[in-house]
Amino acid sequence: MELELGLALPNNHLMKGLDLNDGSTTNSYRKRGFEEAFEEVIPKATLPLFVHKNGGDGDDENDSPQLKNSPELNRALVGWPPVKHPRRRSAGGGAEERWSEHCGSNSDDGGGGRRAKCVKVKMEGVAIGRKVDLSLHDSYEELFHTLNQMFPNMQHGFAHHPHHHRRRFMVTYEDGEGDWLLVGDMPWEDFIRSVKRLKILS
Amino acid sequence: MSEDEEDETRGGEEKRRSPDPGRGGGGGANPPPPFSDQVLENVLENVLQFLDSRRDRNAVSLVCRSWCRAEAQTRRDLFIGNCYAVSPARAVERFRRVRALVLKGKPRFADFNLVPPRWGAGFYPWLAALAPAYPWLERLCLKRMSISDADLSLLALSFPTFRDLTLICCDGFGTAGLAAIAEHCRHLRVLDLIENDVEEEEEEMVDWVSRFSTTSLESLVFDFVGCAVNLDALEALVARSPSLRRLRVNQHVSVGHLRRLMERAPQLTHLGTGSFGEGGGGGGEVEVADLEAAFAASRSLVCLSGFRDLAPEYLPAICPACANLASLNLSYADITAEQLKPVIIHCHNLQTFWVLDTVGDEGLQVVAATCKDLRELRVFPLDVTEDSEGSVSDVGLVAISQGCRKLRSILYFCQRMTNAAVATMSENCQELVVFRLCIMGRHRPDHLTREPMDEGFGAIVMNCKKLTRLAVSGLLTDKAFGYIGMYGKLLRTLSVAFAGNSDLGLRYVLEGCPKLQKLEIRDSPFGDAGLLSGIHHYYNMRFLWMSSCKLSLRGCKEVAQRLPHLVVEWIRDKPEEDDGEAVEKLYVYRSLAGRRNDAPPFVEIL
Repeated sequence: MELELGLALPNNHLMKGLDLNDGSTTNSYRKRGFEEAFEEVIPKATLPLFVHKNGGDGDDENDSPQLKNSPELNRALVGWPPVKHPRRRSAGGGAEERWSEHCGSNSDDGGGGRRAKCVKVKMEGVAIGRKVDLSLHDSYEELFHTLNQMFPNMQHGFAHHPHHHRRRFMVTYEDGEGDWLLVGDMPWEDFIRSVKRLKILS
Repeated sequence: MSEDEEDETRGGEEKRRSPDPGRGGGGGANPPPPFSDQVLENVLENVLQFLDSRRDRNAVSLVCRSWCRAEAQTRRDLFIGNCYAVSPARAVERFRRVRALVLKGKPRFADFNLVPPRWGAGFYPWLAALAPAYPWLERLCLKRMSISDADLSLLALSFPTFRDLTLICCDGFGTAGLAAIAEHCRHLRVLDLIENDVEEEEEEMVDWVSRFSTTSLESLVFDFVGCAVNLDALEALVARSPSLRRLRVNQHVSVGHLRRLMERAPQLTHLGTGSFGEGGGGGGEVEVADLEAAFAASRSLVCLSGFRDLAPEYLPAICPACANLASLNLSYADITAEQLKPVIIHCHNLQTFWVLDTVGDEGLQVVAATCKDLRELRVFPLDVTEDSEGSVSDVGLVAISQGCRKLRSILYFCQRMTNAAVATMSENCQELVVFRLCIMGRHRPDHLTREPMDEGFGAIVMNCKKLTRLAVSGLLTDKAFGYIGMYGKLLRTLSVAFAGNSDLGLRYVLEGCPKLQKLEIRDSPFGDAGLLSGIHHYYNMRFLWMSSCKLSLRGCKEVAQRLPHLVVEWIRDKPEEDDGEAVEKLYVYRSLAGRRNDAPPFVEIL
């Protein structure tokens, strides 16, 4: 099994990480940082403590002794700095997205890079909705994979078939104009731009 | 033994956990006292009804069985600092005549998403007990509890004389619940919704503001309820509420609407603006001069907040009100020192000031020069990341300490700090009761000397003799905790993050601070030995939280074993990371109710 270590880029908030258990060696490094949010398997080598987000820039004194020896696995640091979420949301212009434990604690307004795009996901018949960060996905395939994880009873329902038959559940989304459309019909990039929230219908 | 419900400062000597049949308390089926004793008890009740302070009341209840009974009969205000510390049935059994209840749920670190959702603190079990027991309940304040729309409905229907509802950092409800409260609480005086997490799908939104049936509304706070409200209904409500003193609206209320509301309610003392700029939507444009006139006409204003989506040119409109202001919250307004100055120089009587760090050290210097009576200062970061530039520093802190000698409470977010500045504050501000400094970069030392921040915090605990609450940050060794243990004799609340070297640090605190009630620690290298050093004290505390430390199952189990009245919760919200021995999140609290029966699957009670 191959070990992939990588340093985080100095001004890059995007994550790079170890990937031991998942056989894929794709370059989807953005996903790894939010693994725990989507309940995917975390490589065992992960430290429970957090590593500095910035790679080369920080002063040496900024690194604590315990962090110096850690692998270059950057993960979202939950709840630090300790500021309550209404404040994170509103101060400085305010993003539209509501902050949840999955998105937003790792503020991404430093340097270039994509803003976390969190959208609500509701499943018909399930009382509690979830949130998914679309910016961590590159394709519908990945999105469905995540949705499978979030709604495990529907494990086999989301296979992305080109003609949408043999699928038990339909994933729909609301676009910028308030219309509800079927997910998968347009190029991923366009989808990302217009999607406001998701709904899964049976 | 007095089965005290929560108390802020229970000292160790008063709290005896072993049951003592000689002493009464609630819940026991004791035979009624002889007639003469009954008379004495009645007399006592008449005296005790004047006693307000819950600490005094707790002391009274310890005198003897008779006094305990009398006190229980006359307690009107019940404070329960941890909803799991006592069962609702027991509370209701002991205190039969409660009119007001304060109930707190999740630990404070839940605000920073360290407590997984659905952990607990549901209000329903309490409601089910309160409704039959206290039909005359008037006031309820819930903090960090989960409360559903159905709960709010039931609440509204269960208490015909209900008056005041305050919800702080709660979740689980939406506009449907608010509508029920508005509609059924005919004598509602206060509806304060403070920083709650209101979930709402647009299609499910209910026009709750139109439903108000009360005519005696005194306070309406909904500045963080995310959905737009019916503005006409709001205006009508304000117009028919002559007693309205406090109004804080959300950002869907434009400046234009605000002005109309102010005209309807010139008697307001507390005002929270909605959006204070052009973007608010609807309501029409407002000239700054007209807005200023509105503020001039509101002669009773003492507290201003809001200022979301601020257009800076509107800010000076508040100037006519500044001289009377005791409290000003600009912490959602992204303004510079230049923009702050023309406003703050009028605020001579300001006692509470919340602001964003965008005003910089320079802005704080102006505050220090003007606000000589300042008691509370909070400086929040605009950019909530560890490696942001940071606009305030040790310079601002020193300026404040020199100008605002009466300062009692400070919360200061920054990126650069020095021991000297913190020490200067400790010397200048002898009245400090709350000192919370958050150096946002983890493990960051004094930026001039590169030393740890030990000496600065040491000076605080040494010099500020009234200090009861402390939050530390920056690079800290065990030495800092040594100081805290040595000098923090009145300390009740301590927050620690990314600090310390070894178990010694935790030991110093647990052995040295006899009044410690609430200890919350994250990401610090404290292990079982440190944890065990507090065994003598945990029954005196409201809670202990430790996450991402070096705890293991062995140590936590030992605590649970040796202290049967302690609930030791192992929160395992990341089972895939579990290696079976390390305890990533620990939440410990004393309880008369034993292990709770509503623990979710990811909570293991040891």
